[in-house]
Amino acid sequence: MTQILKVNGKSYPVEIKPHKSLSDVLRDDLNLLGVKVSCGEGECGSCTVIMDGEPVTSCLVLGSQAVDREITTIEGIGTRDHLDPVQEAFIEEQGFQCGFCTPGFILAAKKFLEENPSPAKEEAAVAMSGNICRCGAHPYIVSAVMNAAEKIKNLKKT
Amino acid sequence: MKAEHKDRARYWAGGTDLMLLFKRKKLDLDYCIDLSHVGELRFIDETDGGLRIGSMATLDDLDRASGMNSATDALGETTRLMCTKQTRTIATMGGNMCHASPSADLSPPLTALGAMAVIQGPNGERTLPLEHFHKGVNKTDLGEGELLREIVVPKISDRLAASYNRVARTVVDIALVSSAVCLRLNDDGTIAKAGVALGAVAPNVIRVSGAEGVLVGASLEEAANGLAETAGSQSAEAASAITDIRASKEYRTDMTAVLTARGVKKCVENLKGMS
Repeated sequence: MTQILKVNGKSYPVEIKPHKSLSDVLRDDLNLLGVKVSCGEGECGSCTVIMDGEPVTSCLVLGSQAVDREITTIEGIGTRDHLDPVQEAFIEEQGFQCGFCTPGFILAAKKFLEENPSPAKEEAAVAMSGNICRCGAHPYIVSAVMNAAEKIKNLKKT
Repeated sequence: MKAEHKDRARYWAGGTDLMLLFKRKKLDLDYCIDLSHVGELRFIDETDGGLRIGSMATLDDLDRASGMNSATDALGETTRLMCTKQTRTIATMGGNMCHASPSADLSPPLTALGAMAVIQGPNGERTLPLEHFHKGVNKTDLGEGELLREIVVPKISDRLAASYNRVARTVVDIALVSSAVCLRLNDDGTIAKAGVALGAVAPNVIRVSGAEGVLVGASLEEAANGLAETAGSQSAEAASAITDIRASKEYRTDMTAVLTARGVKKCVENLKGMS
């Protein structure tokens, strides 16, 4: 049965295999390879996407559970010429090394800053605790979140 | 649909537990009946009858309900110890209860708070105390066609405090052992009602009536000085912990006493802060 998935503002008709996780559907069927799967068990946060405005580990959601919901992946925020402020901040602070965990971190950070636009450093660290960076860039990632908070505030002022 | 396909169909809440079973090939199904879209089951309401939590309320919803009253404070504190933000947005209270894991984190605090399970089925509605809802590892009292509709925590007042404490390696790991304590005060400042519930030391959550009995009628001073430890040792006695890959029976039993005593003291502190 073909179902419609709404991803990054577009509607995709997909034949969703019943056992398939959302992360696998996004990668295999929609070719959205910015969704990274690492542990596949909801512990590392690499596969984080935004579903109906909430960050979710897409490896623990069934593809068919996501029907009728709005999904945003890393492909849906910023463009090559106009990066999202969170993306800019990650580059400026070098909040990554290999970059595999970065899409998950950026989406988690983006949602966090919408809820808490002026976080304390400790709050930013707790908010990023659902994502793991095995290169160990965590201090730079927290700096990137703080930098992004400033960028977003300045954008709102202008 | 469930009636037609029986064991080949399963109700699907957030799915964060079932998805793992699926991936480890420990679950074989023809149909998943997705309840996560059922908005009518997703609510957290404070009513005259108590605090009502719909089975599809997510752990993140419970976190956000912190500050509503002292029961939601304790439940919010609990959910922040459970998995990560991006899993809490999917995982539900009902899923946590119906999966009936021995270490389910919401069971001890809800049980200590005296929560009732409201079950909806083909023959109408029935209610039973949460500790009787669980019937062993991954087993519940739900009959064919029945669903857990909501959990009700009765008689929330401002003279109530609850605390959940656990030992676990990290937040994403399950509890090695956990303990929840709830104290309700009389007008004269003595303890009117106590709830003590333990997780991960028996097939399901257990209530420790011995520890509850010790605390009832005591003043807050008495509870903090001496009785907390007595309630702790009563808890250790009630525990029937096992040794497994995560911890030994002896460690679990000893920590049960420590966590219960800690819970009593935290409740006393909270109650003193309120008055």
